[in-house]
Amino acid sequence: MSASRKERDAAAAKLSLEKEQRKLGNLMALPAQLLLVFIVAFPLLMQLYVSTTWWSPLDGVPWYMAYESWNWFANYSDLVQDSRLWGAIWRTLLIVIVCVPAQFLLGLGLATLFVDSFPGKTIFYTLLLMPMMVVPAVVGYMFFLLFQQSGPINDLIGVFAGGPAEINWLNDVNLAMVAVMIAEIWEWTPLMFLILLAGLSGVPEDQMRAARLLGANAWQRFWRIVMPRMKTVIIIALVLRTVESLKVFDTLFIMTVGGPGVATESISLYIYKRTFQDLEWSYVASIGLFVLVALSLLAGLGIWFMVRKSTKPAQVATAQQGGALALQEAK
Amino acid sequence: MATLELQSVTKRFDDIAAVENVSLRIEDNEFFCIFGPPSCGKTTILRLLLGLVVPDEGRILIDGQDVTYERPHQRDLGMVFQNLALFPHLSAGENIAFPLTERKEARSVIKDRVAEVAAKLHIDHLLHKPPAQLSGGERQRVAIARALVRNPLAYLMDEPLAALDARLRESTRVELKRLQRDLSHTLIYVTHDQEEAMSIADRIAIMRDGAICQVGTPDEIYNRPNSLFVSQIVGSPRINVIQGILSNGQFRAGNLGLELTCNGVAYNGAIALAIRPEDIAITDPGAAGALTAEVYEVEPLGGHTIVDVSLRDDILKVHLPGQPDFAPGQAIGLTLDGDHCYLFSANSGETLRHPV
Amino acid sequence: MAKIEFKGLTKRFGSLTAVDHLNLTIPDKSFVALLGPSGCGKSTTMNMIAGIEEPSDGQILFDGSDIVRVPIDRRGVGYVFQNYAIFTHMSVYDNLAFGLQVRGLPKAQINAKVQQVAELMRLEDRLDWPSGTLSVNEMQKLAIGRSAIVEPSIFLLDEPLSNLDAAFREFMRTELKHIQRQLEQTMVYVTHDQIEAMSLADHIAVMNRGVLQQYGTPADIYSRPANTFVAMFIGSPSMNLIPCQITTEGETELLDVGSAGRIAITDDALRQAARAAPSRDVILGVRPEVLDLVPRAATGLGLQLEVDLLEPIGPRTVVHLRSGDTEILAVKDKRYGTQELEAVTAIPPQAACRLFDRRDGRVLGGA
Repeated sequence: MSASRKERDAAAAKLSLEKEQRKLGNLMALPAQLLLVFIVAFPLLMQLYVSTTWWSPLDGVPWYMAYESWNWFANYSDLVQDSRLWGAIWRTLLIVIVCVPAQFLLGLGLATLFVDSFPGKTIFYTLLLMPMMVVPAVVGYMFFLLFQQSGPINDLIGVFAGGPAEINWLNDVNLAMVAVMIAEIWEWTPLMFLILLAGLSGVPEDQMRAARLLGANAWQRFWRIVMPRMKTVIIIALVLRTVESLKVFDTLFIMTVGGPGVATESISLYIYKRTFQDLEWSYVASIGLFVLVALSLLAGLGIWFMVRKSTKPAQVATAQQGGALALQEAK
Repeated sequence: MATLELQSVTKRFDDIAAVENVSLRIEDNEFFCIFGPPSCGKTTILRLLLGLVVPDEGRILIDGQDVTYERPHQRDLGMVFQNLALFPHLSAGENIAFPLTERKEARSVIKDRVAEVAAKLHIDHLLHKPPAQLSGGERQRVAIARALVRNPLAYLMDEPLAALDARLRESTRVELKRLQRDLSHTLIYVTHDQEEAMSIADRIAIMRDGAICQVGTPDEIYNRPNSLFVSQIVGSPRINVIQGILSNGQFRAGNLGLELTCNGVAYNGAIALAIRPEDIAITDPGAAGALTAEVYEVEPLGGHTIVDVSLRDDILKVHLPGQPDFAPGQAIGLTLDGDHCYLFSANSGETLRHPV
Repeated sequence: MAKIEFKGLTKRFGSLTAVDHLNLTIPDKSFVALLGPSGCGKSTTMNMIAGIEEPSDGQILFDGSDIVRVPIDRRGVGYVFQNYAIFTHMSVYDNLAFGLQVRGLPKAQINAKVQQVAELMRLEDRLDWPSGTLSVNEMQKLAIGRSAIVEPSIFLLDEPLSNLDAAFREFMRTELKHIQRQLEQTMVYVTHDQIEAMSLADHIAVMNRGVLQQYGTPADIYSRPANTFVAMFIGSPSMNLIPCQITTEGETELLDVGSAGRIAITDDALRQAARAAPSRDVILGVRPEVLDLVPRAATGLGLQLEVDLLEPIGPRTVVHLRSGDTEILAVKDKRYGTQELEAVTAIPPQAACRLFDRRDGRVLGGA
């Protein structure tokens, strides 16, 4: 009897202690939560509000009075028909589809070279990481100079082609895109390289040896031991870079300002121009929200995919193991 | 030197009882071993005796005095840890002197004590060396000397030989036994190696899941186990176990075609019959009263040989002295005497009858 | 199936010679143990067979051809690592099938083989489990099965039983021997545990500090050790090595063991060994199990000792005997009863004795 009362008291004491600890925890998280509300939630709601009006700073009215020019979802129907926007979306997607895989493959190739040590490895490693350290705007300016008609890249091509090359990179509708892509790849491959190298280094050496002893050649080892173990790392790297690439702005702004014409205008650039050149703030608000929703869905999809892959087998196994363990003990 | 006692001690960590209602009495000058599978609670018992943890229930007594709530340094016990915990920046001599220098004893007293203890353990020529320059066995002895130097009431050792390789372990454990006997100390020793426990202890406590299964001399534990578990946990190779039914003094294991007469037990029902490998004899296949079986494998261990014998689906191990000549696949005869077997209840595992 | 030969095999790491001019032949289909304390060169030797290490000097021949140039994935060698190196991101099935899949075997054939090996290793109900969730014991079986399935001609095992609990280790010892016999492969097994080596191997190569000490069957090595290192390393408890002096009394040679007395040599082989001794200081080697213990009697054939300690270790009892500085062990069965301080005479059967040179530990008399 006394034992069970003692147990009950001990349990009750334990419970109230837990409650207290939780309350304290909540209190400590409150400042950060409030900050989040003001910095993220408030501007978001403001943007949503403005996007449903015709308001622009030229109206002379403060933004909270924007309800005077309420237009429901006219901005949104406009953006659906905005061919320049869809052109920008298409061009941005093009950049992502070309650059991200290129960065990935180059990064992977370089990472495989860096797994084992070789003389001068530290020096090459530092050199390889440098493009990532450069300010994006400076990268843009650097390539702007490189791709000039009389610039170094044309000189280099001239050496191989035999005669002088006079390619007008930045003024050609197609070549400008190529130049921009080259700049992007150059700048961000090191990040892929870094992430993938970390993933590669996590592959246990003994398992690689075991695979070799079982007769697997380098290609087979790569596909069957290395890549499966890198699944999570690869997904992280790809999702990260894809989401970032969709927002490409800096290099484009300096290199081509979206030109020639709109040949290299990305979504971010387009939004920028409409905001600061055309001052159509309400319309831009709607585009901004549209892009936010689209990107969120994309990232969410990637994360769901990744989480699904990694938890399923573990759950199944634990259930099986519990039952089978009992059987095994009996044996 | 001193008796130590645990009275109905329970210690829980979260909801799990690491030690449950354990009562033990360790006599003066006894070499007492606590042995069991991993996580059985043996290390917790040591920590309770030392005072590193306080029991939730029960009392701890040293020489009749209740020390349950006394801190470790008040209890006057010496301890040798599994990883030795020697101070790498001090020489062997300084390590041994440490407990005394901590208590600010006189320099000359320290010097004499250290020299005395080092001589007993044959490490007096190593005192100036740091632990890193000593071999595993020498470091072991420095750790023991450090525990000895204060002349405590009793010594506790937690798997002190686990890190040594097989050869060194065998020689060091004998030295420990001699030391304990010559110095007449109470020594409580925790191990997971059954041969070690059997070889050096005056008495052994077998533990499992926080409770004591049996306490007794090595002879009692080995030859008169009180349960199937105890019979299985000591002895290498493991005791052979055959499941079957006992009815009116006849044991039948249908799947093995085995029938044995077992006298002196008035029990009917499912039992586990166990027989030590050294109690099975191998004869010719056709011999009278012998079971026909086949040699599965032969393991020659030098001074003796283990012959694995397959009897239908089961494999029995037989311990034979010397180097008899058997080949796998050979047909042989097995003689098992029902009176040399242990009989355990199939449900509870408790002993129904020892060998007659 | 392959015969392995080492010819002057040497491996140096900087100034350290890990393996020193090893000459050995491992017969086809035999189970050979490389036995020795840590640092003796056994693992290095095995890694050279696999191709993980390259020899500094000397040759390794598989069936007569030098394999030094052959890369790891072409050697046809199965290897079980000490920590198993299971492909934890794959299922048990995929682990087993790996070796066959990289060879491009058809699926149906792979399936049949995997089933067969899984049954042999008793893993058939675990086939679709992620291999990382297996217990240590199961992982070890999987590691063996994964290597066995490609039917390598040579099977290398690096202390595979060291991580297992005592009961399972006993079980696996028997099973390994059985498997090797069934599959008829050449197995090379590295261990520091002489019980394992004795129980499993057809031949044992005892190594110390990179040098081969003795190569022979367990019975040979046990009864006729070539030097004191082998005598001490093999057998539990190890051989009694009693320092003594050869003296003569008229026609008889005697072994003088100080306070324990003197033994008159009656065995021809032993007498020859005594005569072959370069000096009078020798070591008498006799196994504890063969010592005959009788109540104290002055026979001139035994040593006068007192019982110092008894170690009851289950089926056997180790009796520690002493006289002055001389300490000797005898092994009797569990029913042996003596009292401490009891006076006994220990009579060594001279046909089973060995004499060793006290300076370098070599056995005397050749045999």
